[in-house]
Amino acid sequence: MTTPGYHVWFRGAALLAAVVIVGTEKPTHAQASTAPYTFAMTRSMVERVTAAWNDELPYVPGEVLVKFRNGTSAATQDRAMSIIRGPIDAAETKWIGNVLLARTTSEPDPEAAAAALRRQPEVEWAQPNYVRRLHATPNDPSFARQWNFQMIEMSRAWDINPGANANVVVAIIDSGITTQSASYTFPLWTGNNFENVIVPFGVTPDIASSRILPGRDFVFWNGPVLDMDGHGTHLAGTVLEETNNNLGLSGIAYGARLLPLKACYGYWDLQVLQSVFGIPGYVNPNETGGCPDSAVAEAIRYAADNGARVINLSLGGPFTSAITLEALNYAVSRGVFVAMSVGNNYERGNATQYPAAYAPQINGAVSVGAVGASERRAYYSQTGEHLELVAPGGDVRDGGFAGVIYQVGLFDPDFDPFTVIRPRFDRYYEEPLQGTSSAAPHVAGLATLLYSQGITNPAAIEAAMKRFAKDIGTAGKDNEYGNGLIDARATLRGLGVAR
Amino acid sequence: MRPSRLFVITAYAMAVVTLPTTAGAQNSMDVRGYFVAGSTWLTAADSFEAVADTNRTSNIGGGGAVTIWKSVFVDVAVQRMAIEGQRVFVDQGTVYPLNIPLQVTMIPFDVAAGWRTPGRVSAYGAVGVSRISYTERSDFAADDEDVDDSGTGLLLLGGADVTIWKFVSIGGEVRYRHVDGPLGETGVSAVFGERSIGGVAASLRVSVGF
Repeated sequence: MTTPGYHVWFRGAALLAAVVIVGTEKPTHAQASTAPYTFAMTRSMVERVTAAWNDELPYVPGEVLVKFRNGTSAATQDRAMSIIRGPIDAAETKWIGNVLLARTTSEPDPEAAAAALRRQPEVEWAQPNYVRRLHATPNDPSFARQWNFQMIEMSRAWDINPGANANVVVAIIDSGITTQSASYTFPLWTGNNFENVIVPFGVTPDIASSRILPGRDFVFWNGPVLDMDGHGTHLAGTVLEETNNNLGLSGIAYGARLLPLKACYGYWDLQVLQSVFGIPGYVNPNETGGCPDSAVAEAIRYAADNGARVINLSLGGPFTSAITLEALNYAVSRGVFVAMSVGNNYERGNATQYPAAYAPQINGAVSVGAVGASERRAYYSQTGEHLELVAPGGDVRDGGFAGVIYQVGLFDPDFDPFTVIRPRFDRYYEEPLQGTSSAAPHVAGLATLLYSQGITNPAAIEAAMKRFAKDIGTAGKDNEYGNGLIDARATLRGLGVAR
Repeated sequence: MRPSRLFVITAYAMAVVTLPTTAGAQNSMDVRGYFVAGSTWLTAADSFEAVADTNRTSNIGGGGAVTIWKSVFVDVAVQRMAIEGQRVFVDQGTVYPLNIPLQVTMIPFDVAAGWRTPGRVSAYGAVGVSRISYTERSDFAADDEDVDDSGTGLLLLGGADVTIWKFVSIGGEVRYRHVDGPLGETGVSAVFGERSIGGVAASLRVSVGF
């Protein structure tokens, strides 16, 4: 039996201090440099994005996504677009597949612009560029324990398939996972003025660099992918963290490769961008990561076109998104399985969240809810007919701090926006998190193992997970647990003739 | 058929095979033992093709027969069949092999009564019961996950042989077994709706008798 050698280094120290920097190798930092890269946003885009962030708008002001009907000429497209008040900023317009992302400063209300465009006969659909939120609720640790992997029978599952292989690529579309240890000089607002601050970044010590592909950033810049939020790194840990290495914790598919795709910005991304363009002040520190539909859809398509076999999307929002749905269908049609978190707003109205709500109409994409350590629905985990599977997501009300999900993640006191003005992102510790965000990577990890085991069709991966899920809650499929709790070992073991 | 009844029949059949008899004067061999080897085509074809790429397996075994009255005989036989493959997942008719080795062993125990034509070249047919012991083993299985089960069902057999030298005859026979048992509840057999662990066995038969 494969027994992961996790905790050995970590546990004792974590108990003592609850704050530990993981890593046996000191990252080799490139010389601090002013970034030689181009930022992904212009000043006006940063202003719009930060306005959405600070005012908690569900969309990026002034941005609409438009799909024209087949055969519509460029001239007719221009005529249709002329319905929007004011000029379209051609320099900031871009095509994402066959969808036009149009930006205008004259029409800040994208709901109105999209509605006007939808009335044009040349337009198949139009929508605001909605901003999805990361599905996480952080907590502070007292000690760490990976009960979640025992719950889904990982120890015995690894006997059958020890961590997948490097041929399988998993795309984590999130706040990014730092791909290079380096320091960059960014301008930052420090209260009274701007200061050039050297910001160090380090690659997570518990995922071998050889397994981390360069990835791509869709929201911050065209340089190396950097995680300035921590969310993406934590999720990547659940799927891919090294196992049996006497360091940190373990991950489900520890032999697979990671494709980090940054489609979500966090507080520090916006703080840097704002400062780059000389905009003083701080963005709202209470907000969590924002993921524009345009970036998410672009990342999904990029993943499908660049060898990913599994995508994890731990984000969502209450508005439908045609561009995301089309991107999901594109990815699945190219043989990519997608795991999507169902949302954390059960106690805040339980409004159906997208893209997870699209899962039932896509064979090969799965919506994932969360359970706590007692196999009961986590208090925050959303319910509904669109819920297909549940996985461990942690529940602090079900087992306290021991009942959340721990992975090696960025040491968040280093960049806590309430206390830090000069952040660093090069230290790691055993990070607690709960949320459907944390549940979805369990499904993505299992999908990675299944792909490696020989089930290469996304629809079949979904069918296998449902077939072998442990039926909890009301017998049969229900709105709280979907088809049940994933069982990695049973799913990997498949069927014999009689049993 | 309940096992206790099967034992009674079996014991009776064994007794008549092994005890001396004066009946059956029309045949050159009133008591015979035989060896068979051949191939079996399993009824649960889709299930076995999914795990082993074939529903055909070899069979080997032996038995005995005794003529109890005129041309009427009782036959008792045991065979062994084994097939190897791997565990799979099946979705929408597509089979996904999982590289987990699997071995199925079936041991039919047949008891039949029938009629045989007289002469050096003889044809025979019989009807009876077959009890098939079914075991399924696969890697990574827990103790309660392997299968040890059995089923009892119909047996039809027929064949022909020719005496080639004194007490030795050679021929061919076919056995058809329809035995519902361990299949069809879970596993790929449930996916394909197949319940029978029986099949058609065609064998070469070499007999020695008196």
